Amino acid sequence: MKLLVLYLLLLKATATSFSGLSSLPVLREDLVVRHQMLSDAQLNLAVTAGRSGPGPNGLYVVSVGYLIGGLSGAVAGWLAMITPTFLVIPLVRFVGARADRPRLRSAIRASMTASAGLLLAATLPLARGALTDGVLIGVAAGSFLLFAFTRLESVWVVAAAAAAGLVHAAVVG
Amino acid sequence: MSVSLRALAGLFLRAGNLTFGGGDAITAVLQRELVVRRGWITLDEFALAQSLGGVTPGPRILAFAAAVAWIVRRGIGAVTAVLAISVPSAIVTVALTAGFDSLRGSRAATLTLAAVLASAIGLMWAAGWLLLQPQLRRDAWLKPVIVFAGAVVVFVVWSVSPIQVLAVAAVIGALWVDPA
Repeated sequence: MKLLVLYLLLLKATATSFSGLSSLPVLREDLVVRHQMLSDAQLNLAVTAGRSGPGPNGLYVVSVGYLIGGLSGAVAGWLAMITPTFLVIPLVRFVGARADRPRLRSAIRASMTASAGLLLAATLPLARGALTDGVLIGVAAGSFLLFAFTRLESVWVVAAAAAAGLVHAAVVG
Repeated sequence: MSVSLRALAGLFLRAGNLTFGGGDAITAVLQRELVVRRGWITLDEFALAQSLGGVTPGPRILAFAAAVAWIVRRGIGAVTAVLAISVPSAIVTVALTAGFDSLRGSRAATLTLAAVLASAIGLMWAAGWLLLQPQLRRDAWLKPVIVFAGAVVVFVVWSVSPIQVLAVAAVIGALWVDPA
């Protein structure tokens, strides 16, 4: 029963938000303030763990589930994270069938252009925090050039960046 | 184009579980792999999936992945993509949650992670460029430049929410249709 309640509370947070971390205020209100199933320190740990690994930022919900209910809680968190996802399919069916209309196509392209701007804007605070020395700036610039102007498999670029980080660690001790 | 479920799963497994930096970085990888390298979907289909992923509740990247995979392989593709992206990284997240303190204590792990995150930032810059560049036609460059710059400014300066920025851009696009 507790797992079902946990799933429903986490689902409430994910189903009322539109990106990974925007579910945080609802989730904190329910789990920390109202039901006291989680402390603020645990919530911070969950967010940090969710952002430290690969994958979506919304994975912190899995971490929250784990901290409250162990492995079965993590499964509840994972289910809450993916449940709203499939609502996109009827949307794609409906809009996709009309996508050849010039006005709709222009609207979608303008939205894509804006998302390119949002992407750049979102990297600004990340870059301030993450590109803290010449090596890291070089890794970011090199990655940009490789991703933008070559067809090299993405995983090799990431692997090369990890190797650069290991060499950096070995050099600076 | 016929794409095997195995190939689809392989791509989403790698993109979703070897990419640090969250949904934007994964979207960037998928854009490059799906549109530029493999040609499984067109840029317009990518834009459609990205737009609709942004207005679907939950993590945007999962809705985007489901939409893209639905275009490529319908329902089974959507389920495969969401599982491939989310299951392994969820397991890693649980492991990180359990052992986070010891991982943070390692200087080599910290510096390696920092380099991978720096690479993810470069990747996101490239994704922005790859989205913008095909629209910069000689006879129709003004609208994309205005929309791109406007999105950056209103997001950075006035902290307008991404959903509102995308909605306003869509309205501009609907009202300002370039000749074919």
